[in-house]
Amino acid sequence: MTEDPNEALARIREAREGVPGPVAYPVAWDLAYGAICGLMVASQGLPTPWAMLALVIALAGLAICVQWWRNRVGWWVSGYSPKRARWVAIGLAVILIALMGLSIWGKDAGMVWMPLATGAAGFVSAIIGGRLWMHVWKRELAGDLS
Amino acid sequence: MTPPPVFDPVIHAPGRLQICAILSSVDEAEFALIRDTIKVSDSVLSKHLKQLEDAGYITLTKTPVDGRSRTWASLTPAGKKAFAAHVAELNRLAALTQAPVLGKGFSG
Repeated sequence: MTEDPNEALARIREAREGVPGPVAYPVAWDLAYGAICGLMVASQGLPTPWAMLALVIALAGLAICVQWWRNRVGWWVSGYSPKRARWVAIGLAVILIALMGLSIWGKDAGMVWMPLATGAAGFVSAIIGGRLWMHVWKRELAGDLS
Repeated sequence: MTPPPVFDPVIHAPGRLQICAILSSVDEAEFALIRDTIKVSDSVLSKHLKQLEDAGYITLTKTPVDGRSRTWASLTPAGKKAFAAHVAELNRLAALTQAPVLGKGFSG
């Protein structure tokens, strides 16, 4: 071995921290991601043909967003890959699924306004969850190498 | 679970160590991002990537963007395991260098 282990570990930390460091993604990303999640949630409360159409639009939007991100920043990480940050993604998924359930319940109960309310809640949750995930992930990269 | 510490000479070279560090942080990274992060030339990075690919530690894929081909790299399961084992070995060695010297102060 030619290098001090502490120096090697420092190199690893430096490289890991350098990946997301310069990424200052625009607010437009938050708005787009929030809108996609909000649409997915709200679509569950719409009548069948509109629900399908809204879901297809949301999934197509998600695919476009992922492609945009990859081309712009040069890396991609699934929300569920990092050990600690994945819990934020799981928490967000649970919230969105619960909101979808609420949308379906509202449809069955004849509450026509419910998709608007759950969609708005999904929009806000996705933006907060997305930013929180990024914060936790950056801290995870700067943390222990164990 | 932390894997048993194993020193890996393929990974340990500074450039390849940093490439593995980057790829262990993400699902996949693009050639230019890796090059700019570890500050090496295209040819040096290509060489490192080839060595890691030959060892079965990474996979390289090419995707067309605006008529140009971009190379993306990602760690294979074997690469993830080898890198984690190597980091565990570095941590073990680093801990040894920080351990107090036993018997210091004894005159015998």
